[in-house]
Amino acid sequence: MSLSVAEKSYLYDSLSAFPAIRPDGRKPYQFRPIEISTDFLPNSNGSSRIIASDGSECIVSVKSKVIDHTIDNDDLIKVEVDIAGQRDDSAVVESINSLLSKVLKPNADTLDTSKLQLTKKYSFKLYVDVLVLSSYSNPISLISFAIYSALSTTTLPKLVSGFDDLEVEELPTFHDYDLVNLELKSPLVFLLALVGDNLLIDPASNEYEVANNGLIVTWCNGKVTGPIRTISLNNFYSKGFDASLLGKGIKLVEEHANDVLQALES
Amino acid sequence: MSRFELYSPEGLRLDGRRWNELRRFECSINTHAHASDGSSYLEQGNNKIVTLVKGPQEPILRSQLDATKASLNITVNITKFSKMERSKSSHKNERRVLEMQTALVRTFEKNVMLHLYPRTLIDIEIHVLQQDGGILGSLINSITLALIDSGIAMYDYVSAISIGLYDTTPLLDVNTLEENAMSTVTLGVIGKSEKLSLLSVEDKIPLDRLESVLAIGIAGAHRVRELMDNELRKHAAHRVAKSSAK
Amino acid sequence: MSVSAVSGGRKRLSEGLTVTQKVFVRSRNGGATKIVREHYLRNDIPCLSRSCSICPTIVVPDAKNELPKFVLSESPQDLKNIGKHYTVLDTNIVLQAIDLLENPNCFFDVIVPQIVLDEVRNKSYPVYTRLRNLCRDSDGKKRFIVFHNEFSEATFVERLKDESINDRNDRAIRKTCEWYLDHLAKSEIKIILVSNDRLNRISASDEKFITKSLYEYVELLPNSDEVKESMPNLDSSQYNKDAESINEFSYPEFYPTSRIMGGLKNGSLFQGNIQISEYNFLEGSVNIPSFSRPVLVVGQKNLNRAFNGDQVIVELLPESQWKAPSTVALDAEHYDVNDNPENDNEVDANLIADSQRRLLAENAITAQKSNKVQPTARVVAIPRRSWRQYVGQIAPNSVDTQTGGTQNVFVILMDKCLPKIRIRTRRATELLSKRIVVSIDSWPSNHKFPLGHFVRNLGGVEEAQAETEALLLEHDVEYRPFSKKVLECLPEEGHDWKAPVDLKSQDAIAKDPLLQKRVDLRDKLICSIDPPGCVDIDDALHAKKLPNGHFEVGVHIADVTHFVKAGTPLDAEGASRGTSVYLVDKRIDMLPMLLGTDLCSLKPYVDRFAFSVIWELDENADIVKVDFSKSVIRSREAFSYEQAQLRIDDKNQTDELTLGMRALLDLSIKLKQKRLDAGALNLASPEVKVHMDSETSDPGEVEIKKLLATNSLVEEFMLLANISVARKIYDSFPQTAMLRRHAAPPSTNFEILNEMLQKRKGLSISLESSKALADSLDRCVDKKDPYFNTLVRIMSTRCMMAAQYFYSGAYSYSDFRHYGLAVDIYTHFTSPIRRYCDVVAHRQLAGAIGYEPLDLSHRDKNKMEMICKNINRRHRNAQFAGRASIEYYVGQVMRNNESVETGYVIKVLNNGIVVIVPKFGVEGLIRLENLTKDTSSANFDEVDFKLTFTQIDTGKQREIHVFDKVEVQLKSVLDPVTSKRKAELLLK
Repeated sequence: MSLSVAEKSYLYDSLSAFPAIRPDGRKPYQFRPIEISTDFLPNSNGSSRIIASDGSECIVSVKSKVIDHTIDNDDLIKVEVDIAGQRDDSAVVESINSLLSKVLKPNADTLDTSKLQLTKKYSFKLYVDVLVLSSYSNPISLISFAIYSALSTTTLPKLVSGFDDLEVEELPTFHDYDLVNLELKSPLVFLLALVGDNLLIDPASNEYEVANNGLIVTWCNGKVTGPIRTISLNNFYSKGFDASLLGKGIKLVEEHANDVLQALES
Repeated sequence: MSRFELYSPEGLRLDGRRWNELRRFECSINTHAHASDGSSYLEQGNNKIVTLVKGPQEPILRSQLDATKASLNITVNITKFSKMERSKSSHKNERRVLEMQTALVRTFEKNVMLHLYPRTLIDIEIHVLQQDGGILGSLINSITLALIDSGIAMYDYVSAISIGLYDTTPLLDVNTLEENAMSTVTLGVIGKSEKLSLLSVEDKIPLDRLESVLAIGIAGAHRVRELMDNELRKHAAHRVAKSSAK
Repeated sequence: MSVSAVSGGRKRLSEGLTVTQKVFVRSRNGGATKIVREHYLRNDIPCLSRSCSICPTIVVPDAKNELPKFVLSESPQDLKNIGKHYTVLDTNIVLQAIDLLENPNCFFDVIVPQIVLDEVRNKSYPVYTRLRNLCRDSDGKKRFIVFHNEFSEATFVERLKDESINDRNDRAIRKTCEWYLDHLAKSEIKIILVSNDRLNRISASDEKFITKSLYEYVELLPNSDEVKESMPNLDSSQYNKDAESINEFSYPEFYPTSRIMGGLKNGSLFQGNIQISEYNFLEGSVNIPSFSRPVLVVGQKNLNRAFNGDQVIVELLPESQWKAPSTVALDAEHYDVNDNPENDNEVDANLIADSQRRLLAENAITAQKSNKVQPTARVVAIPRRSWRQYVGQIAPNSVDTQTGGTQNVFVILMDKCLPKIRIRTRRATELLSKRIVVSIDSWPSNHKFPLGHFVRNLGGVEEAQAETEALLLEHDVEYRPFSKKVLECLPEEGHDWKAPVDLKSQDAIAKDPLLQKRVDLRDKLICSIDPPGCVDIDDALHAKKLPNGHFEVGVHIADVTHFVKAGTPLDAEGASRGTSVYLVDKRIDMLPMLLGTDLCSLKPYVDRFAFSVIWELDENADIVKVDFSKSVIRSREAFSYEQAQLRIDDKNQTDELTLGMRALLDLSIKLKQKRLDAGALNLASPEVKVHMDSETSDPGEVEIKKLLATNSLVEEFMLLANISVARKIYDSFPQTAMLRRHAAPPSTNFEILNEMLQKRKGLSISLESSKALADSLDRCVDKKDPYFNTLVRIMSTRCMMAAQYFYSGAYSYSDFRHYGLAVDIYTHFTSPIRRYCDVVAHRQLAGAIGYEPLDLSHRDKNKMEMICKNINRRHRNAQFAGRASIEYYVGQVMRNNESVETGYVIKVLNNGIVVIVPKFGVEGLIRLENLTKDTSSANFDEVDFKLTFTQIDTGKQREIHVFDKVEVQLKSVLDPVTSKRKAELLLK
């Protein structure tokens, strides 16, 4: 749905006013309602489906595989995004893929993958597959929420063989029934639109059209972490922004991320 | 030797069904109203399928433009996580998937009144979230539902089902374990008739057994049609109630 | 795989049908996959009791529109203090006491819960099959049923949190008992759960149904004394208080699965089937694909309870313990526990890291190539046991004849590669010097010998019937009469069955529509040539000169598949028997007599259905064209080989039949020459025939089989037919054609023989090609001794690979080759009466010529694989059984006439020599003790294959080399320990 020049101009003015007036009446830090369901794919170790009020929808599956980390020492979490209607090598898909791999990069502070180690030789590798069924704006934030929900409900087979297998090799064997909660908290990604001097969380597609710039902020375990990026949301209004807005943006996320987390957990 | 007792002497299958019983069949339509013109979500056993119909709309490519009728385009996306073991490749452009797409287009070309929508494209996008055997039949059922939701004119329902042949016993609506262990047939039936719009036999089936297989298959497809019809009527009643309440 | 249900989440689909999900984790090769399956629960699972009035109203028919049969009796066995009862079995009872369950005198009206059936199936497929057969065949007398508790809404239980799968399954069984008790409350039938799992019994103690251990249950039976004899012998200390079981001896424990999987994967452990040496029961060898030669396993502790034929996991021993294969002969029956020559020094293997183990494996492979020291290994796990029922006899010295009560005794098995078995019996004294059947139950690590139980008494040692039965059992030959269900598949007319006179008659065609496709060959002058007294005539032949100078030659094979249709019980029985077995005094048929000796047999002067292969052969016996058809023939005469020879040789006979036979003979000679030119082998085995006195059925004399030209006449045409058919069915069914191959022998097989030949005679056998082998065998002659060549042929035969049946998808075309016959493709087609391979080939050929569509089971690789596996095994067993039978009767013949015969040394050992006596086809070990008084003076020269010793009587030094011709005194003795008659040889 495209807006006319006059509409855009009106929208820009109201969004950059202080306080900003969003067309759907939200506060700058307010999210649109989302609907999340988890564990609906029994074949996967964890799954979630998230639907935004504009009809954007994304499905995440987490599957595990036992690997020999002495041979295969890639990251233990591998994420792949598939956006309906987009080729796998399209720019959107590739940029989201690369951003997500950075977000899910194992890191002792934010994403502690030591929980995935089974024995001295073997680990679980998690495959996080994201299917974006439909989206009307950049789905990165939605995806990160879906991944968070999927990972936090992921259960993995329970190891019953020994831990030390370096000298005398044992193949890991697992309990035939029990699954253990992984309890891995993945980072959340927030997308803010910069309009004038205002920062708007979770911009709707019409807000995209007039944003001067976009800011991607990653948040994990109570604090903002990397990657933090800017992203151009349209071709017409894009321009630079005041460095102080960056700090403001981070602060906004720090203030409200916990609410989002609580909403996701409930 | 199969590791399982596929059909016990007491007449029960691996999952506890009898030879002529369908799996759980649950469907809903209009599930993705924002994202498409017609949509359906189907669970047939552990097959889980989302179908989106977009159109009739202006074709993106000129090659898709036909002055006499609408073009039908069907894309099947089998997700990497749809099976027990995650597959490494995305199944796009796999021969099996392309064949399936062609078979689906052929089946629906004849059943959708394409001539009513000249110079347009009807785009059907299917996402297989989980599969557990008899997938082709489930795809057909889910397309039928989504097309009906989209309001595109069709002659009748197309309902489909897979049947396996265990020794001499036909088994209705096979799951993956059964599908891997025996010869199977998938058939699509038009409405309440006994007309087949699709018959896919990928393994050897003795000719003298085919008749009993088709007989139970047609009966099964009729039952599927009935289940879809019930759901559609329920959905419609619900909508009517909602709109008259306003 | 275990069954468990995801907690919660049942969904009602319709009246009487709900669905839930089964979720479990499958660990395989170190991976873990979450498996989810739908699981449907229903309310139409009947109890199958005749006393129930509800269930008959809920049952639904199956796909064949048949309703389930209500089997359980309304007045089941009435036990004292308990009353009328049904029995519910726990898994452990089925696995431990399947023999007892099959016993016709106990266990009636038995309920097998589905979960038990599933567990049994996962643990032991053979036991599962036996249990299924019990349920299928026992509706009249034993009345076993399967209750699908897992699919019944009323009895399905969901796994609880932290509940082990075993506990959950036990609970499911208890739930089933409870349900039955409630369900049958009106009829006052009690439910007894029989379980040897103490915990399960304790958990059931609050329940209303009765719970018994197997022992307790058997105690209750009126015939308990008799039944107790067949109780499985388990290591439950309650009745094993004797000293033997609590001595200090113990075998090393087996490794856990995780370690085995890991070890196999990284190459520090190996898997293979163990073969125990014929000469030394404490030495085994395991064939491992990555090793060029088998790895040795020496000593009791290293063998670690492995039986001959078990699938084992082995771990290499440190290099310091590698050794040469033993040249000592040792057998179980004479082996005394206390003078164990092997020092079982234990190695704590876990201290060695896997990386070092892999290095060890590399060294081992190198060592095998270079020198005589062979790597040794020890068994660390036994994934699959080859246990079956065994025949043996009680060791007299283990019996205390004074006490009458139950005692532990040893049973020495007929198979000398196996250890003795400990059983408990109260009939020990009565069973002395009887052949008995025992079954093995367990081999706990703290027992020196495996534990088993008595199954059946076959009869006295050396009673012909007992010995024959023992032999059949030992070779796993099914010899029971054909069941009613099988016999029902035969034509109703029985012996009065006749081929229709007019193939065009409407009546006949109405009965058999395929008749129209049959060709009428009753005008051909066909005859059969067989051994004298042959009643199952598989094949007949004819030949006719054609106007163009070529010959029309026909081979006509009994049309067995006209009567044996795929998928019938008759077919299943034939498939499972696989082959007829020929013993000296008995023939065990693959198919019922009516077919084998009458309806299928191509008897003379009557019309018979046949499957005909008709060639046009030119004067060089090259095939111009070949045709296959189902036909009707009338054999003009049934000749014996001698009669046929006489007829052909008789110049006065010039009738057409004789002319045809002469043409056949001429052509067969050409065929044979062509075959030999191509490199077909002419091997030998010491085949003898025992003549039976026709009146007393006592064995008379032993004769070496003679061959006539007419033998080879028939043989050549059968080969030709087999080859032609093989090509045709391979053409039509490239993936599943039933074929027979014979692989080229690996050169290592011939190493020792070649070394012996080289050293002793300066000869050698070439292995370059079958032609080279055949030629080099021809060169192996000793001018002084015409028998030497035969001897080498006999020894070469033992180095060859065994031919095997296979389906064409299993190998690539180049591997189809039949080495011995020097043809590229081969099958068996010509003896469908006595071989199942031929039955399959007939059906495939019928499919290939469009006579009738081929049954699915012969078009399915998996099913063909099963068929091939079975017939290969049956074929081998039948051969062994046949040989054993001859051996036994030769022993009986020799018993009456002790004599001095010529023998040849074929093997020289450290403590003896092995001698073969051609006249009787027997071979035997002459122990060093019987060669010399002073065993220490003996000297064994491994390089020269020479044993030097001081002769007993003369006191002179004597040297014995391999291939030496020796005079031996031959007598037959009954071994006092094994009660086995053996040819005892003494050097003269």
